[in-house]
Amino acid sequence: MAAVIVTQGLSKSFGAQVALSGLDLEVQEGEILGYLGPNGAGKTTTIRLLLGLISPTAGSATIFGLDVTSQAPEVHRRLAYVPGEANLWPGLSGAETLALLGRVHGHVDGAYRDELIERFDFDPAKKVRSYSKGNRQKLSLIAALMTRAELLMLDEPTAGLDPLMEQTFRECMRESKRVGQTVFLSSHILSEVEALCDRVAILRNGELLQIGTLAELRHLSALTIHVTFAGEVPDVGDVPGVSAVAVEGQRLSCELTGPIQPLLERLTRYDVRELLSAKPSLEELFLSHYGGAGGTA
Amino acid sequence: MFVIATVAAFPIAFPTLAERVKAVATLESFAILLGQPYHAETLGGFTQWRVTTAIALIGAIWGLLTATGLLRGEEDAGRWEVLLAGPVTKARATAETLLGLGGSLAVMLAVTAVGTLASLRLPGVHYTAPEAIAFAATLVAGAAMFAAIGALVSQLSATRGQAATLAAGVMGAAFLVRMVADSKKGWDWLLWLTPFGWIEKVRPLRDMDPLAFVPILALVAICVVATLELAAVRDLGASVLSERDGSGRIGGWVIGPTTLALRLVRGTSIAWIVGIAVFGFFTGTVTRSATALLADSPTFAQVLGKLGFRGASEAYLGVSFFMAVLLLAVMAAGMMASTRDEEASGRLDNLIVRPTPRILWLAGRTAIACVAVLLGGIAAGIATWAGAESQHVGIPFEKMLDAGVNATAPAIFVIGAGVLVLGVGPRLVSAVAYGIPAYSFIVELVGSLVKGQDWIRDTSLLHHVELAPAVKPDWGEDLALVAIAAAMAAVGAVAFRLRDVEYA
Repeated sequence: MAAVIVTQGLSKSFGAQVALSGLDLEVQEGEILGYLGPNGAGKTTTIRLLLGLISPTAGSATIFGLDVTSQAPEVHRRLAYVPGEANLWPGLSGAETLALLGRVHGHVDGAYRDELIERFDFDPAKKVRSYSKGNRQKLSLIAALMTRAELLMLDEPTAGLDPLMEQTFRECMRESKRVGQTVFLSSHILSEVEALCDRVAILRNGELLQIGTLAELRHLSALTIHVTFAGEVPDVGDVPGVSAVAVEGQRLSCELTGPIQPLLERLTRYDVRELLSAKPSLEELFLSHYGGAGGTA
Repeated sequence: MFVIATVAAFPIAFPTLAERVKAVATLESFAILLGQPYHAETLGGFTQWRVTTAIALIGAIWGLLTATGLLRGEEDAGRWEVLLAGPVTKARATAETLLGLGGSLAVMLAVTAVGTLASLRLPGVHYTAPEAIAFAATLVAGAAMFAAIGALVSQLSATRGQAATLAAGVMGAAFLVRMVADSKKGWDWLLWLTPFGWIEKVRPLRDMDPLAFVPILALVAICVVATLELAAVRDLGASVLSERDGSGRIGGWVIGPTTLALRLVRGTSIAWIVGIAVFGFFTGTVTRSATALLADSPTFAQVLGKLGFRGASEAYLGVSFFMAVLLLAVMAAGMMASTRDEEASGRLDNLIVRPTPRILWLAGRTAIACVAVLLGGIAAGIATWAGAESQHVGIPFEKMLDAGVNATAPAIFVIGAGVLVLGVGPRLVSAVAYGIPAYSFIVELVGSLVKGQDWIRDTSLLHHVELAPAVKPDWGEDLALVAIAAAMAAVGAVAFRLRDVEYA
């Protein structure tokens, strides 16, 4: 597989504020990469840099081997983009918007477009200003997907969609993967990334913290353990590898990194009624990185 | 200020009763535009005739734009949603907005009353303080009535644009009825059918008819009550009138960045061009009477002579055309502000990433702006010529066409400056584009009072365009303005291509 997106030390500062710092990233052809981070982590800045809307203060990026800044039009011909907020022309109808964006892009699969309109239950006759946020997002999605572009750059694409339409979006993404499209999916909806993505990149304060498959990231992260006691609840804070200890009545919760044996030895000295251990969900995984950084927004 | 200036100028322009009586005959020919003069040989009669309609019209435009903006505009923008999520009902929020509008009108009334009362101290004034206050109320009545109408149509319309268009339509119809009523003696009963007619009927400074205040107050009260009733029962965002939907068929003529730009500026441009043409036409229709009025006053004739204008008609049209020059420059500023707004709102991203070269997009927007102001200038020239011709003034068509084209040079300069700022400091586009005509206008107003400081007037853009048709256009100077504009646009375009997209 060839790398579709390659960034090397990609950085962007706005004055003194560093929005993205030394991003090294490769996205392979045909994969769906989840790009996770809280608000202000630098996700949208990364996408704008990759689209050539803004120039890097340092580093470089290529898409399909083409420089994203100097060869932006050639790159754009082969990708489709869904912005985080669907800023469209209020006076145009949905149909006019689709016609315009299709003509400007140059390639539209008309039959697929009509199918998407049907599947997203979208009424193209109305003016954009009368659409709800969700309907505007549908319009942006249809406009991008109908191009069948080789690369889809999606910036929080399901914002405003109801669960049913979110399901339709996921089906579309699976279809995209089947036909070999590459997807760069920026999101803070963890279940979405968990359901769709081959690999996940985690970003915080403009820095890439980790990148890997879900399995790899789980391996790196802690186990979540919940224990309920019949009597006294022990103090486990000093057990090696244990963190985030919380006691609520007879129930103790903690996270564990490394071997489980020391914790088990401590617990079995007490009257354990129930012990649950789980691999972290992506939500928990995310929180283990952002626990002190103001949440996931 | 307008009142004081008129009152002060009257005895200077027409010092003797004979001159005044003679002038009244000429004023009759302004009746369509400004209303029938009533005892205009007196200071009170002349002042109320000269000032009332113009101020009522300006007030009406302010009223309808402000009311539709505060009510429907805020609702469109989604800010009412946030407001109404708190412990505030729609009826209460609407009532408070109307109260705020009422407060603004009260301030306006107070300030106007200070002006009209101040005019009592001028020599030759015979009207009383209560009459002066009633005059102030008459001047504010246009703003009050059309703010109320704007509030009501905001409840009926689907969008702010539709509300403003509807209110402007009502205003246009009301003004038209008043024009018809004033066009012929014996038709003045029609004045009771239109808000502008009621304003004209009050005649506060000479034989006041307080009865005319009744329909004014009744209209405001009915609109306010209906607005509050409708606001209480309708859903947020809902409307009685619906916006026309499209067919849903994928297609149409908006197929690229330039056709999109055309579609986006079409409505505003047509409104500007029609507005400038209507202004030109009326300016043209009153050329003969205005010239006669000016010619009858030796003081004005002397002033014109000093300015070196050739013919009286050309002189009048040249001075009037100054307004067209200013309007075209403001129109150009609006076009550049909306160009920047496409970028600031993120809408431009949709085109750039599909891919539209930035330069192509900017070139399309700039070309359309240039064509629009050129059409505006040509429309102003032709409409003024048609108006003048309807009164057999005998101004050659080519001369007015030249004047129209000449009037566009400052507007083209504003477009060039707008593109330059878009490239190097995009957040300043509106300030600079609107600032140039505003600064130039102020310099023109006060610059002539500052003796020996010609460099100040040289900094005014409007100073660099001849007052055609009063004098021949200086095509060399016009071309220089266009060349500077082209150079600024070129630098701006290169900078725009290289810089980051900047959002609001």
